Amino acid sequence: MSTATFEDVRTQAEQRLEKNLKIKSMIIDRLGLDAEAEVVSDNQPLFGRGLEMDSLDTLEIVVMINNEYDVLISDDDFEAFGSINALVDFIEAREV
Amino acid sequence: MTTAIAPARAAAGKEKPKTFAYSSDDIKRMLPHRWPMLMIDRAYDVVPGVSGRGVKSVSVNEPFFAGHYPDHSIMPGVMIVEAMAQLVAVVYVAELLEAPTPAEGDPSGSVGYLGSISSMKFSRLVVPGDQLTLEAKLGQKLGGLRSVSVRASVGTELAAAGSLIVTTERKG
Repeated sequence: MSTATFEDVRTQAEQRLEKNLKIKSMIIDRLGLDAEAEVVSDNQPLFGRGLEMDSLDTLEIVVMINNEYDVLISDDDFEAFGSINALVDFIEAREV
Repeated sequence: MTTAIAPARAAAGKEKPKTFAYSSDDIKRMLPHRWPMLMIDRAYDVVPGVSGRGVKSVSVNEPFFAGHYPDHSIMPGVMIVEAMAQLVAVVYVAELLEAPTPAEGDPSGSVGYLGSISSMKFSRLVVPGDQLTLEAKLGQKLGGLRSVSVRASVGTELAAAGSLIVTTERKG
């Protein structure tokens, strides 16, 4: 059993922030949103207030995530769209 | 009403999916579109709910050539997209039609709407005399929405390719 060092934890946190930022940029590019990735918060809702995504946008994101990470999101996985953090959690749990 | 053009057979241990072909008269039973908006003449290699190919023969008598343009006939890009979308509808209506127990009622009633032209690139002009070969591959679905990859070519030349989102049911 190994114990994570402070350095390990910091590297992990940095990687996660980088991934969140990458996914925000991908969503903004794909949907042509008028927003900067840096100002979208990780816990901001994707629907309604927040990024104001609709069902068509959601399918665009499902296709994008499948192409980029080979992760399938289906009708039952609505929790994946709670926020950027929820989406990245979902991807990380299923990524090969 | 339908003709199986390739019997299902085992190829290299992998079952080849059964494909169907539909004539213009078959298609009129599958789609609610009529002249001048029925933009697909024939469908073939249709794997219900998965993929298919189709043909649209472009004649100088198409009504849109009267105005697009009077002295320079070009098929409008949006009409090419319409032809692609109609092939997509044939592919998913075929799934209802070819099911072991087909749903009752008019299958053309399940044809939905175009939800998004997510990306589309036009690479060649389409003019009277051209025969468009259409291809559609259905992708992921979410609720009543379905993403699709589509392409149209004339002979060996690509005319247009891109991705669409369609609704597979009629809800506002």
